[in-house]
Amino acid sequence: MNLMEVRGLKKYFQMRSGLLSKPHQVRAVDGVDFTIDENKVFAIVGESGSGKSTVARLLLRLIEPQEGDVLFKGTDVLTLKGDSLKAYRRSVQIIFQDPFASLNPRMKIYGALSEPLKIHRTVPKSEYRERVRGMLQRVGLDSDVMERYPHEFSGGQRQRICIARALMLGPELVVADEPLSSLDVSIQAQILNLLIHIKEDIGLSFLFISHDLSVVQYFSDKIAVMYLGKIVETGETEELFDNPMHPYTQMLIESVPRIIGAAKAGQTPHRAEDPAADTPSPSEIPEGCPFHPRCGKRFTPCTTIVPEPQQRNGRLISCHLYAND
Amino acid sequence: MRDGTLLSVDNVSIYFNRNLKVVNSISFDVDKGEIFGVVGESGCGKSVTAAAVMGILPQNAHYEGEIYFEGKRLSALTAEQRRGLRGNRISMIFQEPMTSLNPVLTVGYQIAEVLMAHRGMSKNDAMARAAELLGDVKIPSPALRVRDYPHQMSGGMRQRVMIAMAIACNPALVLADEPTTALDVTIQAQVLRLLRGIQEKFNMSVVLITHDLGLVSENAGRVAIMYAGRIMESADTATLFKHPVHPYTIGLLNSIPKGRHIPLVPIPGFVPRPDSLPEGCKFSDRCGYVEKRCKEAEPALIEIEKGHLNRCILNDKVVS
Repeated sequence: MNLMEVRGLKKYFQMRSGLLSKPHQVRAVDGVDFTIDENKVFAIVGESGSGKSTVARLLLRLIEPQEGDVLFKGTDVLTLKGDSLKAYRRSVQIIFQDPFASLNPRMKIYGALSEPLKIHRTVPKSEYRERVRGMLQRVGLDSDVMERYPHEFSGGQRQRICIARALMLGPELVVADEPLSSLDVSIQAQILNLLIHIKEDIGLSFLFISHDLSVVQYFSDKIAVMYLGKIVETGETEELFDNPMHPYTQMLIESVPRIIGAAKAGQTPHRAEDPAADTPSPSEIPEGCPFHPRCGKRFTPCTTIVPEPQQRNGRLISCHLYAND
Repeated sequence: MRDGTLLSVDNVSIYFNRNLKVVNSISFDVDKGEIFGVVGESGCGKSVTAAAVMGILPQNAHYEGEIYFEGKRLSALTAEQRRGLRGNRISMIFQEPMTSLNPVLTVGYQIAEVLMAHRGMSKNDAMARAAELLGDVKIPSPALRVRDYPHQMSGGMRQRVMIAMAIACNPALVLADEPTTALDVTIQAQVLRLLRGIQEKFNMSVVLITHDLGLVSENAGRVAIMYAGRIMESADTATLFKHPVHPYTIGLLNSIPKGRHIPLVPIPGFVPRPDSLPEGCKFSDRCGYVEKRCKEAEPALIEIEKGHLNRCILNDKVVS
């Protein structure tokens, strides 16, 4: 069953580059469609400026879109107000990238974890301590951390605290925006395993936003690849990695440095791309297919016509190579 | 020192505020024309080691032991002589192209400055050469882009400018400290290909400092794995990734997702701070193979096969 459905979502920002210059539009998210199934991990991968974090913020209603629909269990999220919006926010929680910036440095851990309970009044005050203790245990921390401040913890421990806070209200969907990128390699694996245990334990769904393809391959069930505000390819994780169809997806997967113990030492695998090509800024998105200036397979329509998403082998793909005719 | 050795780090320890030891007697050699990888997590001492070689340790830090470059003992050089090496024979590429370029000078001038300082070029000649260098690092329309300021460029382009600056004087050694960490993965691939091309063309030596094992595996010929200011294991890249022996190296490799059905085995605990390291083996409190004697004395780094060094008492047992 689908838990969340997103249709035609758009977010444009007005930017000024100088005091007197004319404002211009940045199309951060430009018509995005996807669905998140229950008890599944849906990942959005993309590079900086692709709009993936903006999507996360839109779904949580931290910012408002220009256009589009967001349905959570069939209810229109974008028109929610007052108590129903509050209820929605109980069901959908977020974990941010930087666990140093996302905990209040003046608040003890107990305060940070009990605050959601206070705001939403889901349990009587007498139960707060028990709830916080139980949640800390679940994320692998001792209950004596309750009386300590965030600066006393390492990055990995702080991310555990942020995960605990996101779970305090028993959400159904957790949006995790690059939750591993600021952590060391050995700690990333710990947190990733923790997320998997939690998902299996309490049957959560995740919207997992990341630029790290190996992490996404490991954790997610379905992937959407974003490039300059648009989803270029959506598919089941395994199929997408086995057979990437969109040229950008192919380039992304090929670019990941892999451990090649067997190969001759110090030999870079061949990768075909113009070395001068650069990701355009989201404020100057190219005409036609946004990827065409970097694409090795471009042909006539790519420079002028924006490719529409189409179904291909259970995949949704926006590329003229796979046009129907 | 062997023939063909360019840089020799010999028993170097680095201290902050006189007594906080962040690097503990490390030794390694870098040969002419090779890429030597240094891998470790935050705080393992990999960046300060590069700073010591470059001669840019902060005021409150100093090193003991010796660093030899082209046969010269660096500690015996005067400040003037060191300045003559820096940016000339030895140069550095930093992680953050945003913060390591001067925002109020054009990129062309920043490259030209190196040439004026070390080669005594006139400003006009140096600017012309800067444009050529921008072309070498594959920046489109270099003659125009020399007049750009850093903010007018993307992250990938700024890192190319850093590379242009680093290679301006044809250095023998480039210290690349996380040169692509701030970049997107497709841009990272481009920048590395570029660096590799230049390295091969000029037969430069590169010390590639990174936390990314994949990056080292694809690019370096030999590699040292650092933990808590020590080298834990070191070998040629193919051997290290095929037959890792140190539990930390194995732990790092098991922490990287390799595919959907291969379970992750993280290293428990957290990366220790230099002021609170465990007794004996510094990895003992996170190691799955720990024994009583690991806590008693720190194992020495010993050669278990030709060119393969390991710092663990369980050498024979943990061959994966």
